[in-house]
Amino acid sequence: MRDKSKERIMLTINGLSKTYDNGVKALDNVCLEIPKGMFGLLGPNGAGKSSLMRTIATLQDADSGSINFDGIDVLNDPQALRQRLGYLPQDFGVYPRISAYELLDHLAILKGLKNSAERKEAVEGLLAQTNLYQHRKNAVSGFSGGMRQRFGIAQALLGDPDLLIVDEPTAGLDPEERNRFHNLLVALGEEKAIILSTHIVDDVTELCPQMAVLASGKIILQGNPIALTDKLNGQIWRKTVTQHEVADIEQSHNVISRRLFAGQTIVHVIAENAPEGFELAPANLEDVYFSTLHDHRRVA
Amino acid sequence: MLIKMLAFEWRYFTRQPSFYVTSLIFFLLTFFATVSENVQIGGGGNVLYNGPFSIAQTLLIMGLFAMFLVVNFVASTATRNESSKMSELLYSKPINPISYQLGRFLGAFAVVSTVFLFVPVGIFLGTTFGGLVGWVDPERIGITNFSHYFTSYFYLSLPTLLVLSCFFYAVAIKFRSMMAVYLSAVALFIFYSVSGQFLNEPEYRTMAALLDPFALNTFGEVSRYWTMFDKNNSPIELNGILLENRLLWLAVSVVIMAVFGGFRAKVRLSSNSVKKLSKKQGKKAAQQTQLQTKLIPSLLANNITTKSAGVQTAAHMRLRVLFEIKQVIFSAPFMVLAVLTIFMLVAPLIDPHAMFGTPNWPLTQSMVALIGNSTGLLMMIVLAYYSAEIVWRERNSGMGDIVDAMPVNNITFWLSKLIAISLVLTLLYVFGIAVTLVNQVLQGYDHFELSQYVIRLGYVNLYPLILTAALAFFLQVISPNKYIGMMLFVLYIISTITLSNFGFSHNMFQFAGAPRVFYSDINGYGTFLTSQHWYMLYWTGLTLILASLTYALWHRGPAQKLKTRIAKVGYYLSTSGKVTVALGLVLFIGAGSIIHYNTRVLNEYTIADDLEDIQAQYEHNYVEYLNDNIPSITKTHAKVDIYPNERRIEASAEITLINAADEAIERFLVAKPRFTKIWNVEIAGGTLGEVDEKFNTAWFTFEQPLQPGEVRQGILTAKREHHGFSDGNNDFALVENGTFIDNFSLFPTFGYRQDWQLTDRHKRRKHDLAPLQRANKLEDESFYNESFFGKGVAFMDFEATVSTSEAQFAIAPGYLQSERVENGRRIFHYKMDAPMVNFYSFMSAALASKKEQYKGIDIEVYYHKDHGMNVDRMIESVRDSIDYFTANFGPYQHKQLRIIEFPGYRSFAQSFANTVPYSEQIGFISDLRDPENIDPAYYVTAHEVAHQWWGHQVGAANVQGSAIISESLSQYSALMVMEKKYGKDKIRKFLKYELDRYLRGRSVEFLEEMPLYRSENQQYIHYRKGSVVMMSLKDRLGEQRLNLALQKFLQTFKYNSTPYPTTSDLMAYINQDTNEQEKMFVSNLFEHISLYDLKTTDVQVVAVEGEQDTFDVTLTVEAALKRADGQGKETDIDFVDAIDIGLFSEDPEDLSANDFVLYLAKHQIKTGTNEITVRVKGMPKFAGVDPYVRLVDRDSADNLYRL
Repeated sequence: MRDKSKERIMLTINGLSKTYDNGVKALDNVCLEIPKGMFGLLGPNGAGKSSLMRTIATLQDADSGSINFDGIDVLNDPQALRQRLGYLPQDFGVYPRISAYELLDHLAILKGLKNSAERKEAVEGLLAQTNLYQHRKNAVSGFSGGMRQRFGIAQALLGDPDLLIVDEPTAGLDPEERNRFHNLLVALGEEKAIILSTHIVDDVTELCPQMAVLASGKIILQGNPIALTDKLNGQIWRKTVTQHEVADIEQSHNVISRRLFAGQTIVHVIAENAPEGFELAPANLEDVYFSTLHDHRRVA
Repeated sequence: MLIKMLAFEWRYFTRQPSFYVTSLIFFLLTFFATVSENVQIGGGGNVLYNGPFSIAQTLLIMGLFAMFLVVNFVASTATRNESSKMSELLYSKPINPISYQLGRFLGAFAVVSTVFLFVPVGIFLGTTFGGLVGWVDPERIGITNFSHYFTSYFYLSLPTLLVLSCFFYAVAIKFRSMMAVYLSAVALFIFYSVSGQFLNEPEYRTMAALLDPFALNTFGEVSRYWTMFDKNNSPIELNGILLENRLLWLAVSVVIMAVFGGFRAKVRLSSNSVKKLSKKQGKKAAQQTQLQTKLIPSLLANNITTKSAGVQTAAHMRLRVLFEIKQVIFSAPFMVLAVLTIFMLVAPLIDPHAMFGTPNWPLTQSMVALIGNSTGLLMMIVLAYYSAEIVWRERNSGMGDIVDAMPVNNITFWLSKLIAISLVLTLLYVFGIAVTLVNQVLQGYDHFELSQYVIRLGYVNLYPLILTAALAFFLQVISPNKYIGMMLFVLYIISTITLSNFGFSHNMFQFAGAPRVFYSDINGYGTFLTSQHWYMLYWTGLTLILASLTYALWHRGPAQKLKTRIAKVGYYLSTSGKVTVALGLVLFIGAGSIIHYNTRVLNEYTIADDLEDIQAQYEHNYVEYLNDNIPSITKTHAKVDIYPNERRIEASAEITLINAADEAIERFLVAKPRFTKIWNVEIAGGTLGEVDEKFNTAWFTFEQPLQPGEVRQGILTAKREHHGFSDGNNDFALVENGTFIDNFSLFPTFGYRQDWQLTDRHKRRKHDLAPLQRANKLEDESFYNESFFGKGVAFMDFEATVSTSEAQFAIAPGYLQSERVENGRRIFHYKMDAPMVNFYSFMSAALASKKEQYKGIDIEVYYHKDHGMNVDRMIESVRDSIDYFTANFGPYQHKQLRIIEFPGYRSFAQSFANTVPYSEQIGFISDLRDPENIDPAYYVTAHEVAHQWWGHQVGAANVQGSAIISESLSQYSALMVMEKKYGKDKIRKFLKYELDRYLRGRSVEFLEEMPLYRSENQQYIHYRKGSVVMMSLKDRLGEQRLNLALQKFLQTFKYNSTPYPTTSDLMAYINQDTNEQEKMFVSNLFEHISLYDLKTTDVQVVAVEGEQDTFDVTLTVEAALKRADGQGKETDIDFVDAIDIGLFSEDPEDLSANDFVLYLAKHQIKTGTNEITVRVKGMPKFAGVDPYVRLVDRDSADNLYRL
């Protein structure tokens, strides 16, 4: 059992640190072991997610630490990884005046799809998968945000990468497209390592058997979402309150989240025993995420 | 609202770094232009840097640059709402368009005016500070007068800025795009420079002055003939043409703003930001969508899991090269550049500024030079702009992260981009070549010489540019963003200009630099390509290293610091990269060593500053011997062996010397000829001392002093040779085909070398040298026995034996006694039958020839086979000249006259005894098909033939005015021959050119303008003014009287060297039979700087009753005569004189018209207003005073009045 799990580790990140010129510590001794399948990387804005993604995607060097993918020393031999990598950056632009088909074909050649028949099949298939086929003759630079994002997904999948890094892929997608994309990922995900960086907890809940939470450049939580959620079961309490009461409750309780529901505020607190007036809530990944962040902020 | 908007714009811009950066740029540009000797905006001559002329000129030229300032600020104000995506927020507010737009406009205009204010500030601080520190010659800084700054700024700059602001604001409002504004700025610039070319002709000058929004031509017109005095003292006045121009453009600005300023339109979103599909388009799209949707289910089953096959360098390269090329070629900037290139070439081709306005045949060598010269700056801009655009394309488009993570080798990116930028450069040249080829075809010239285009443009010009592109890429790659990269490249360009100031002028220090490759049809590429090959190899070596580093340091990913990229250099270089670097190093060091050996060991290399020091020291050390007596040569027998292919001359001359002075000569200075290691001077009874290598000078000492009148024998020897190649230290005299060397260059010379002295006033002061005396005083009789060629140059007997390779012929003055071939050498023996000046040349070349005999004189023209167009015209000119000069001045002293074309490295014609070397750049290639044009071939030939009389029969004493005797009289003689052949009208056109060039010449005089008879080797006086004065004199005294006087003068001084004549003698002969009024006239011409100001202000025509077609014409003529001092300060002189009054039925400018003179006679004209009534038959269309430009008139254009 142990041996088997070790076999499945594809990407090993060890002691990765990076400090920018302005003093911001983007990555702080990050250690991760990422197996085949979907891996969710959660974190608030500015936590260092994109820095980590870029570093794994060979676009940025680290001050220290190492990254190993399936025997490739990524930081010292980036070219080797690039042949097995698919990368969707958080935001990107495109060359002007080039149609979706041409651009994807261009990128396919760059990706190393040299057989033109195979390339045509892959390019058309990906355009169809991302629901862009009917727009293939239009310039990508004229696409709407969602369409452009789908194009980004299509290009990341070119060449059947063994490591797929997608940075906030569902931003700007409507629910239908998001579902389609999730299905695509799941279908592809079994044989490759996919790192999905997001700040939307539901994405991870839906897709990822493994996850980690990154905050202030540090990994503050790592594990299986179900196991992590189970740990919190019985400790999450909720109460529906008015706006005025929120401040009082925040002072007296460990509030991990509050959300609006039909104009009223639902407060989640974490506690061993039921606080007065609160009812037990089933723990979900969001509670895990927020409580982790909550703890982290308190420490920091 | 208006004030608030204005204040908002002001605040907005003054918070932008661009405000400070552009202010700083404008300040520094003017500041350094003021303090640096290398960069000069306006000024020149001896003009005060803070005088009204310099200030105005600087402001005007900076006004051209201000175009981009205006685009930057005003147009960005107009488009800012769109570009900053503020428009939707803003246009939902209630806004009054007039106060909104006007406020913003005025705010931006205030910013522009403020930035431009740094130009006068730059001049002011530059002159003040530069004067204090000693960067600027303190003599060229006057007392600061702020009114000059204010008038220039308010009269010249502000209106220009306003016009530009209005124009670009309107364009920006109309198109709401910065690109459109940039394109219109480029278009305006093209239009301006092209129309400037066309409006440069004298007849359009007034129009150009009126229509120029930058007021450059206007001020040019106002100050056209300003002398030094005017330039430093005349305030800029807002009147006349300048006022008209400013008012015109003020009105235009107001109209532009009122009509296009966006005041009437409601402030709203631009229509194209809201796109709509037309019905038809929509329907079509829907159909298509439907059709395609059907396909999708099957496509969904496609195999999308084809694995990457890894790095595919070949396929990647093909893809990226095509991609980059497409991106570059189909872009607006490239179209603009292409159009710009074509326009820059079309303008000078349509209106070539050649000799006297006569075009040359479009020889391929000239076309290539034209393309190279007119695209030089453009190519640098292309490199700066495209290297930034291309290298940063992935980052700028936002594709960077995706593309950089692809399995593509760095070299693929680098090489495809380098190929793209090279293609841009190549295509621009190709467009240029296409334009010139079309021009050649249109001109009926069919000798295309495509190989010359390829070698000179492709290899000599383009290849270094491609290497420079690689450098630009390198600079971009080591920069964190494209702006810093661009800045580094601009710094590099500046460094190429300034490095030489710090002693790094050797081409080994100038990236992609090589000694200039000269081309001549006669000599081809000569030896110049050899040095080009080595330098290119050397720079290719360095480029290989840079290129490898560039791709190894290539940006993969955003904001990767240089340090982290350097850590990966080894990884990305890999073995092949390291081999390339090693190869580059080997080439760089290997070729560098060979260049070093050739240019510094085998050949001399001197840095300009060092040379200046040597010159100054030479003068300090030796100037006391300036007037030492030296022996004169009275007989020479030269033996000269020319080896053209080895570029070697072995020469010796048996000479007979005499001491012509009245005291004994104990020693004299000898100067070593250039490029000569082995040389000697042997004279009986003396020895040549040790050579001072630094100054190439030695003393020759007589053990037995050479007594006055004593004659001795001697031998001069010199071996001039070349090994390897030099760094631009060229010997144009000794080449493979077309050797042309005179005795002063070939043999050691005697006496102090005045021509080695520094002439620049500032440099002389810096080196503590006394102000240069340009000539000896006219009255100084001690120089009367000295020829104007210099000390010791007298008339002598001459004989020469010249040998050359079998394929060439060799020429020396004298008559061919024999020609034979021995051991593959062709040997010529020449002997001169008449005394000749000790100034002769040897030539050796393989050329075609045409010979004819005319009245016992052999006329021969040797010319390059493709330059035979005007040979017959030259022969005709020789015939006509010999006829006229023989009849009027005396017989030709030789029985032969030869014209020999020599390579165009030097462009002049020069007259030696019976021999006239004539550069391929002048005359031979003039296109004489249009009979309206002046014929330079005929004129130059006649001038040189005239020198056989003026200069070779009559010398001139080495005092002021010597060149008047040789040059002005030759000009006169040539003009008389011209007048006989082409008529008075063509002479009128010629004289107008001469007058214009004289007046412009005196406006850039840097010491002092001398009166004609004291001219101190000032070309604008002895050539230009000389022509006008002599023709004026001929008109006044009559041809016969003047020629008789000249004939007597010549007969008296023929071959006379004790004494040589002076201008005083010449004037005495001219005045031999003149009356008082004529004497006055001659004095005005010769002894004073006299300027007439004649103007026909009104002409009334009344038909005479009773007589058909007869009219009484009354002209009102304003007349003034001014006398100027050497600085150009004028005083009025009263005069009464007989001056031409003419009436014409056609425009006398129109040279094709015939028989158009209705009336031409002299009338008494006095200072002030004159009324002259003339009765003529036929209706005059033009009337005027001095219509044939016989007087020195400051504005000859207003002499004629158009009815």
